[in-house]
Amino acid sequence: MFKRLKVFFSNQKVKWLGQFTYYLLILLLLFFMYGFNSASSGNYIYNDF
Amino acid sequence: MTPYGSFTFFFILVILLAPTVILGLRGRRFHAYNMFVTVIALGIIFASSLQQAVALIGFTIWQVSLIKSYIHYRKKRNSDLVFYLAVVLSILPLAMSKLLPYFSTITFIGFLGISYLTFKGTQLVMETRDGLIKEDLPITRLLYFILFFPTISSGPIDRYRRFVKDLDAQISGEQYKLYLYEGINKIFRGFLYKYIIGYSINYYVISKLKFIAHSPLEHHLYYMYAYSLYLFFDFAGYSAFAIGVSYVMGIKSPENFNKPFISRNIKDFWNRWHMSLSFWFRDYVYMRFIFWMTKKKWIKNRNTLSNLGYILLFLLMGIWHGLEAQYIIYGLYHALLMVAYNAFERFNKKHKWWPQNKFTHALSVFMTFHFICFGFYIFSGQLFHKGV
Repeated sequence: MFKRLKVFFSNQKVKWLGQFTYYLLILLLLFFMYGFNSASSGNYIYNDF
Repeated sequence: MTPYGSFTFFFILVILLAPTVILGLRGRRFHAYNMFVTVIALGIIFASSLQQAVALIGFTIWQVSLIKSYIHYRKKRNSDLVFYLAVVLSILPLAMSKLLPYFSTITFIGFLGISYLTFKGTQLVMETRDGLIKEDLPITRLLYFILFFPTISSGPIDRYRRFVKDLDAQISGEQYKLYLYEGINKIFRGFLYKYIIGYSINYYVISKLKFIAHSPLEHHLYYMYAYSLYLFFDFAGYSAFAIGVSYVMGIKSPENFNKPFISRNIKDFWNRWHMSLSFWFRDYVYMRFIFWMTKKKWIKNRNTLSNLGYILLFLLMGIWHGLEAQYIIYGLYHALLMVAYNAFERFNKKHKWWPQNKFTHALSVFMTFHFICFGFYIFSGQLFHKGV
């Protein structure tokens, strides 16, 4: 079972689809959270040091 | 404009780096163009503050003159005194920018990224002393290394010899595709960490804690976990952006994080958290201290020496963050953890008290996570705030 899953996830098409979904999800979340505003998510903590 | 602080910054980057990507995909050299991009990007970053722009220029002239003079001197002589003087002069602007605001109204020395630029400059002086840098450094390469804009504000701290290897590497179109793919992947990870997870933790948990927690203890406990995660996603997000943009520009800047919350012990944690800084302190503070003390034979016990090295390293790291009590106690707390872990490691080697199995591994990760979170709780300053 584990071997079959490993073979499935190492398939190039599955990998590509996984990456595409990952990028798309991030873009959609960014769009839902910030819309078309020029978002600023606050300063970076380590910029102060 | 804060690097990676708004979508506008990313739109500007897309426009500026489009020719880099086209040249890279065609297998052509692009570092001359990237140097031009660095100048433009620095102009955009520091455009809003003339004081910071002037301070950056002054600092760069100071560091470059110092490094070049020391390399020139080192070719003929190798005095301890001159080396110490060069290190002090290299750190001087950073020390002044950190200390002067506590004692006077002078604030014109500091600028965004002064710490990380200082770490690079001091590193060059030390590597010259060690004989690792023997020849005069070309001014354009030196400036490009120090002012490399993707990592200017908060690192990661690169090493000159590694950076130059990337500059000299002949990258084919196919190889650049991999650089670009990895760079874009890291930039998306940066968006996920900083703009989605980090922002959500700060907005939905930290700023609303007074509605979530029912008692002061709960408030402090939730804050400790939330702040620790927020700090990680904020800084790891920034690092992912910085490293990702570096990759797009053909430079493999070093990683800063490697799953720090699954560390098995405190030593393991410092090999996974803010790696470029902890390795800098390891190489240029801890190792030098050990070497120097061994040479002088003042302390012969190796464990005492190692513990003193850790105390020095973490105290300096704490002070570097600021002179506020929270940072100094944070440094001492980690020094104490390291010393205690050192003692435990020696004890366990002798008595085999802590077995190695899956259960103890999981327990070690759980315990280390809580020690780390408490450290970040000290770091946040919440411990010193009156009331909730």
